Amino acid sequence: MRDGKAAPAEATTRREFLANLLLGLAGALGAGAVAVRFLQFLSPPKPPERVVEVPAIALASIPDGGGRIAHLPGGHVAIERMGDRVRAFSAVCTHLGCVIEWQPDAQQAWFCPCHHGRYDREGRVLGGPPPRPLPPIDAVVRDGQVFVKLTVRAPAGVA
Amino acid sequence: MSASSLRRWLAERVPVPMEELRKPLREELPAHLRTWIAWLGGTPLALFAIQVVTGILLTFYYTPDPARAFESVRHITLAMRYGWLIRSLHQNAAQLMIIALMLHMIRVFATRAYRRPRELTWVFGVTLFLLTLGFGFTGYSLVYDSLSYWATTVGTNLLGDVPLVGHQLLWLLRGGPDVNPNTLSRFYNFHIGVLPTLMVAAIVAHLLLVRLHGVARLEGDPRTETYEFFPEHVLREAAVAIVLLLALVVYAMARPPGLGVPADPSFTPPHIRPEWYFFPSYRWLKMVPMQVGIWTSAAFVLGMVAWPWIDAGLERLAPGRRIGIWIGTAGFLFTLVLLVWEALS
Repeated sequence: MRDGKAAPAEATTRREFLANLLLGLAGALGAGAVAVRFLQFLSPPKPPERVVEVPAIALASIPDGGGRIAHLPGGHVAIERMGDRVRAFSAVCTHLGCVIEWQPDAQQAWFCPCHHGRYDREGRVLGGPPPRPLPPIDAVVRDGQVFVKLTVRAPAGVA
Repeated sequence: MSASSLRRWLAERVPVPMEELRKPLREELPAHLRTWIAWLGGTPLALFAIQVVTGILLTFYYTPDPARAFESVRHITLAMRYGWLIRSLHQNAAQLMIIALMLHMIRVFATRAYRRPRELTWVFGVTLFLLTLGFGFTGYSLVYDSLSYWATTVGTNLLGDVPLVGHQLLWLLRGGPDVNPNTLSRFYNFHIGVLPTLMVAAIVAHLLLVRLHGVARLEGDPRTETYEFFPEHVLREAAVAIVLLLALVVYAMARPPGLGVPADPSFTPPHIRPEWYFFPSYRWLKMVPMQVGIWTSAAFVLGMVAWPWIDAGLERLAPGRRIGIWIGTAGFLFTLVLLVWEALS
């Protein structure tokens, strides 16, 4: 050592320390960069989404004043009929994702069998654990057929 | 080649110090370990071994693809020779493993064997319990019948309500925005790849610490006699394992595993429920608002992990009052009430 004191045999010199530090940092950076890519691999890219209007159900198959669920490739849709008009919601319970069913009483229209969430005819929460109302879905009737506007996802890589 | 020359040949090629390796076998165990509830540490390990063997067998025919998963389970159960037995053993050894772990934890808790310096042994033990619950959840999903599909949907959706990172976690766990084909292959991977790797690592750490510290002496137990780990203790553990295996086989013959209805993503069956060991949290989450449920559940798990330190803190606050035992007993009884309540409803 420069000041002439005896250094312990295992003491690290400044040069060794810096070299180890650099190597350690480079190693950590490299391993970190690879680890981030590993995580990205596990998270699939979001598929492109588009809104499409699809035929959901024949109007005649819903009793007047009643409701039915249409199971479509783009999602489950709850549809209510009032004469020639319809109203539609997502049929996926906003609590934990079960599919609701038509089960009306004085106030209630839709009921979730999983945790007994209850919604009225406008999709508002009447009781039970659901945190939000049912999201509305645009629906029209043309030629006796109910059409709904759904956001569909194409599988990744397919336009 | 005679036995002794074979031994010499082997000792030269694999130079392990046999004397050193035999030492742990002669470990002296305190007398209280002869009580049945104190053996149960080895039982989950024996049941895990059954899970590994039957699980590997099941992978020969199981297909983790939504279109074919249920069919492959049916195929295993009905068409493959002894498929019903393998599946039943796998399913029910899992249930027993959870019961055995619970009993083991209750014993360690009640005897306060987790105290300094054995805190980390407890932490690895709780980790093993949580991993076993992970096995249960992912395994239940793989059956892909109607109930298991919806239990997966509901169970994973819960994660989405975790503040800040919930959405990312959910995406990562399911491999997409909803339960989709990626989800099943992911769950399969967790079940047969990720979780077993973590499990083996945690078992090794847990057992290593148990060995390094030695078994804790029972507080206030006047007995000083000990007995040897091998053969007496090993024979006791083996006896429990054999009786349980026999019971599992008899159960499989008496009640072969059934098949539910294939999963239908468009229809939620009216009575979906997780497996019984999730009943307490299931009931709790039904009772309280979502955020309260999530935070209290997280606090419960954290409290369990950190219990040795919490208990030590309580002991310092009020020496000799044993507040920890009361809190623990209250927590346990509360969990039990939730479980029974859900089971009966």
